[in-house]
Amino acid sequence: MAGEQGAALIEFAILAPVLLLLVFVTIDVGRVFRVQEQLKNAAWEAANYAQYYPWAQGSNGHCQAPNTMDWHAQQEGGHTDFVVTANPSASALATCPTANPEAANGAFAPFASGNNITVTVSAPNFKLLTTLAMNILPWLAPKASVTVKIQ
Amino acid sequence: MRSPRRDERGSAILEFAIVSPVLFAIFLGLIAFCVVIGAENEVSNGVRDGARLGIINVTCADSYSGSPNQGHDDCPEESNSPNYTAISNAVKATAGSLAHVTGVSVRCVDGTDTSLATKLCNSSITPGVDLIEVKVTWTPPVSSVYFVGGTKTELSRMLIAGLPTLSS
Repeated sequence: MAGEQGAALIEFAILAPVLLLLVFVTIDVGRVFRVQEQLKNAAWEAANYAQYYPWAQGSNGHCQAPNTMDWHAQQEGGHTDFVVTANPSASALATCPTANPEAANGAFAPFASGNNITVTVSAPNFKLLTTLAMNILPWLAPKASVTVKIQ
Repeated sequence: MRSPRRDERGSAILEFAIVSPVLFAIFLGLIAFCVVIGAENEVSNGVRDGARLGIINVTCADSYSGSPNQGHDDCPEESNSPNYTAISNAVKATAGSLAHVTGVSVRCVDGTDTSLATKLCNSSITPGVDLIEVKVTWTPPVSSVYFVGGTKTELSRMLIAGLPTLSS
């Protein structure tokens, strides 16, 4: 009798972490879907801006908020910690012109009308409850991309 | 003297009686959590449906919150009504089944600086620069112990339609 009680206790000790992990993973999946949705919305809004001003990227260093796709992405849902990257990147540009140069050449060649631009938004501050999972599997970190044609 | 088998059966039932409320609580909690996540998504979609209407019909936009609006001359379908409800209706059409929408407020936002100052939604708006903001307050459908103080807000800001021009 006493021995059996001990067995049940050990069984619970083994199963409890597994059950708790299942619960937290389930909650995390819901949270990731939620952030994914917010990131997608932010990316759409940034891409809407980027199709007219593809070089207006925060990484440019010369384009300042509110004249950046980064700012528009962040303000869409009020998530100021969202991080925006774009391909082609504008990080090599030395200026932030108010209009795309007619002859989009040189450093501006990637931003010529008709090219595609892909805007990717991520949430580096988002943490899983099962934090370790993201350390082991970095691709779990939620992000969203939208590709549009430069006008 | 009792046999060991009878003892064992009794303890299994007792164990189930102790554990089952905990299991049910976890189970119901998960369902409630999923419903709240679903409602959040619904409101998130609804608020952007409202904003999308706002970016193409901006001069009709800022009246629902009850603030005086200069733009109604350009809003014939509501003919100067202080209750232009199209944006609110668009929000509620999408976010009505799971979430309880308790309030919709709409304003235009100055897009030329980062302070998000309010701007009248009238002819002073520059398309492609200024933003429209739709903010929804709502409560989750599950009024349970899991979600105390349930009022939540969700907002969307979108670039008012037109070719964007850089300020300054």
